[in-house]
Amino acid sequence: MPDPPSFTTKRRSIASDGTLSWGDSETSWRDSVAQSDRVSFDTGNPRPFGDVPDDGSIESFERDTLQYYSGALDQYSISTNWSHTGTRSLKTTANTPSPIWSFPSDGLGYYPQRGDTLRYVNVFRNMNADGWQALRFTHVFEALDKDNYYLFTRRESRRLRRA
Amino acid sequence: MNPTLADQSTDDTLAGYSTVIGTIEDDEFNTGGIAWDTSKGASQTSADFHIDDLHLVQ
Repeated sequence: MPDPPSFTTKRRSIASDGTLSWGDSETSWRDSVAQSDRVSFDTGNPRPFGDVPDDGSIESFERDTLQYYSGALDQYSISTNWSHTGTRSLKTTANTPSPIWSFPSDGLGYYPQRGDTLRYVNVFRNMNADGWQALRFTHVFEALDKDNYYLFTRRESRRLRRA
Repeated sequence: MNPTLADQSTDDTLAGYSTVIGTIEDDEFNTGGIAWDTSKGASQTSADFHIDDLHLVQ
């Protein structure tokens, strides 16, 4: 197992040079256009992930295997499309899959700890032609129990589109 | 109490990559696991949703 990469803890904000609007209704999202909030980001780097050092990788799926994971393995696959780093990414093959997980000692080289600042990358392609994305993910840490917290990219019902 | 990911933020670009970033700040969080639980939504059956590059930020 490799040594964990060194890092310093700090807060970071990623801003966009665009304007986003969203609706929070999962079932009537088309109607949510008129009710949408609008948020503008005006302080950011237009290519926010471009300056993140290319080290400290925890999981880039370049090993081309999910052997370090348990759970709904039949609902995810390693994809050769739309990789941000290297040539592999994790693809959701079901519309609403159950989670897969990996806990310390399962085989990944490093697991998140308190104080860590983390980032990961999503890409959503080939969505409906009307321009909306069903981006149902959120980013929280959830507790299975006191000793088994895990980094959890959980579904939510937010829908985003370019304004 | 659930651990929190403070200052989480995204840069969402239609048909592009989105970066998610945040800091683990909960006092009870020591070393935890990683879980992916994602959904592309029933209305997006033809779409592809990918995740990549979980990274420690220095």
